[in-house]
Amino acid sequence: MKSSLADLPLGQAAEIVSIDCDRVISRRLMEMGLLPGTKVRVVRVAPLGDPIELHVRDYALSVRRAEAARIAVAPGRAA
Amino acid sequence: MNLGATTPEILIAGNPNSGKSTLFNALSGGSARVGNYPGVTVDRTTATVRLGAQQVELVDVPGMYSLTANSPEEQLAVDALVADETRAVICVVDATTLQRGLYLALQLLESGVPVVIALNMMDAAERMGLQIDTDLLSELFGAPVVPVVATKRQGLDALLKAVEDQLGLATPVDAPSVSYPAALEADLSELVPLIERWRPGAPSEQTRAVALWSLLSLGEDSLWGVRDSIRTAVRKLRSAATAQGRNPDLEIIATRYAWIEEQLSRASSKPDPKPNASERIDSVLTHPVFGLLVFAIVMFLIFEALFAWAEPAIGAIEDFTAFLQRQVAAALPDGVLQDLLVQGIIAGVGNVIVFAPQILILFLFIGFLEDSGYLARVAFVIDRVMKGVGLHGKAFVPLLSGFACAIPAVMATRTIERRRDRLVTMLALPLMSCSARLPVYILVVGTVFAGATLWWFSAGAVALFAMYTLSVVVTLTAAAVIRRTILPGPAPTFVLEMPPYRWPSAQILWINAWRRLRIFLVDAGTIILAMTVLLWALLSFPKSDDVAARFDQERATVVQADLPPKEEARVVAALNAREASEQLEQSVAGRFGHAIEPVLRPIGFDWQIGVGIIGAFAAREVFISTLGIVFGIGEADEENKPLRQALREARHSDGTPVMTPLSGVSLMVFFLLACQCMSTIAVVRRESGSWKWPAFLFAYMTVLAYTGSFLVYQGGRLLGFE
Repeated sequence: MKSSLADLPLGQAAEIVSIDCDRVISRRLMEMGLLPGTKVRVVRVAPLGDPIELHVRDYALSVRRAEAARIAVAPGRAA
Repeated sequence: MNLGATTPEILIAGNPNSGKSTLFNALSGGSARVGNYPGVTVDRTTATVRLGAQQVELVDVPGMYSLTANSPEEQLAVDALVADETRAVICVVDATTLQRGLYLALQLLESGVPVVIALNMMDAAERMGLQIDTDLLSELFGAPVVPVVATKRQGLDALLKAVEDQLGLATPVDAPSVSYPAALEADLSELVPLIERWRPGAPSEQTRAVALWSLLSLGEDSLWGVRDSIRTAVRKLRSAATAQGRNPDLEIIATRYAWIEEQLSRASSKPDPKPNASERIDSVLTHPVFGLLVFAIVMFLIFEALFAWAEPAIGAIEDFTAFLQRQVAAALPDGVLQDLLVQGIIAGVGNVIVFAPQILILFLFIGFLEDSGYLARVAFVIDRVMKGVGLHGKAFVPLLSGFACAIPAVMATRTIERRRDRLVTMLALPLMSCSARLPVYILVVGTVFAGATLWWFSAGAVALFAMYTLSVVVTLTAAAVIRRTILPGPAPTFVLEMPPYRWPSAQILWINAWRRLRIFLVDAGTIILAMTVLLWALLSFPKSDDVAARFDQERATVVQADLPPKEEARVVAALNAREASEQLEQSVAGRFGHAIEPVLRPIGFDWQIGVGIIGAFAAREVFISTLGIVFGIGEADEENKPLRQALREARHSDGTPVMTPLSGVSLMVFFLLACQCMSTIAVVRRESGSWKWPAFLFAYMTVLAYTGSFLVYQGGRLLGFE
């Protein structure tokens, strides 16, 4: 089973494999730098459990779990 | 084309949070003007500045991560870029998030327009241990790269010099040519001839850039003015690509990022990965316990400020308006002119200015939250709750502000990025029980529930609490329903950058809050003033000469009766109040109140309440002073005992009392749900950009209010209440 960004344990680095959201959201995410091969890390979960905060390309981005679940990742080397 | 006729324009573009607006304010010295982009409700902020020997117009383009567009609002950046007046673009790039910022810069460069890259926040980058070789970067990108610190006004002269040099060049420096995968280049070469036919005479870089833009933007969009031939071609190319297992979006974006990474590997060092101050602050501010606590405190503070801090200023404005009205009334002879000035124009200007304190306070707060970076965390913390009703996390602050006043709250929706999300919020939040409804509740409660108890609570307190609870439930339900019916579409996504915490500049907070206030005063204020005058006319005309003559006679009788002066003044004042009451009954509004009485009866009201409701359109609390006139009491507030007594004694034509606990609750529900506020109409007109939305707002809230009151009154009667 491929793991998604939504299942990634807090703090663990991973590499994006693919993004499978609706086209407009996928495009937005890609233009903000989330591309296959990009290193990403979940740094925080909102107090109510959703959304989550990612660290990617030297900045912090928050996305909802629904979107994160459609971003496939592979465990990466520690960033 | 006559290029000499227009002032050359320099666009300032950049990512949100890149310090773009700070740089704009620093360059323009706060002398900006705010207009509107045609067709979309996005502010167009411009300023005229001297650049060497010539005047140029600086244009603050809304913050964006890319030129790719999906809606007309996103499209305006591209339109501005290819406009004839545009001579150069300053692309503001936050040096601490270089790759993402340069993605936009690369897109701009690809279009062939002269670009100057302003590398902002160099001080923060240096603290992170990031080294950037700006000369090399400039060479690689084919555009001047100028390090600046906008907040400290560092590097501004060098930046302006670089822009001036760009304007002087006969041909711009070579833009970088990024080579895309062969299959994508083939797609582009099919699009280019179509685009040449669409935009004849455009430079070849621009044609290629438009081809790339079309391929990336078109499909499931609501963009304007794109030729059908291009839409068809893009659709075909995209479906052919999908059939081959290709994704053109990915090809374009990944190629650009790969190119940027390659250049940066030569021109900059890797930043220090150690956690920065923002991450440490966030471990408290978004902590499961402390995070919610801080959130609650900040929200309470906004709330408190809107209610309590604004109060003295609002009181002073109201006192001054009343003072002015008395002075003008004393200086001018009685008559229509005096009434027009006192009750129409001065009251109207007062009705506008009275919102100023709350607007300033809310925008200073929002500006602080936004510029400090906390507003993104507010959305992050509360998004889970807002998602349930189809709203964006950023809708929270506007909704909360709705408890104080819908006017600043509607204006605050502009922090929400997408138009659809903004409209849903704007159309639901006037249902929040604002502070102007409170006096009406208090009058009703004091009239029908005086001394009554429900179990061991006072009945009035229970009724008030029920109103506030109902208002929250109805607002959220309305948002969910509007989202599913009137404004259907994908639920708002939440892809939100969490910018590093920064200390906002007081000067910029003030400039922005003042700018918002000025827009309100000019745009919404004109409408509010006009409506006040109209409402005054409806409540004043036609005047009955018979009534006037009869009261003149009665007054003459009183004067002749030789009463003690105090007693005479009292009797004359009572006569005046009764005359006003009878004149009001003769006016258009009074007649209208009578005419709609059959409609009002099923919800428990009579014509007098009807006239009060019409008067309340000026502002809800005006309901009370209008009732004061209707009942011949004169000036009255919600604590006024004679008014409460008069309401209790009012009878329908069949002899039953008008104000019962049941009709009282019905009246409160009506005021909770109805859009009895012309200022709300005016501000929604301004913020939505058309009369369509305020008309819809007024219609749906009126229907809702009538239905709500009908259910309460008739349902209550069926259950045996009265």
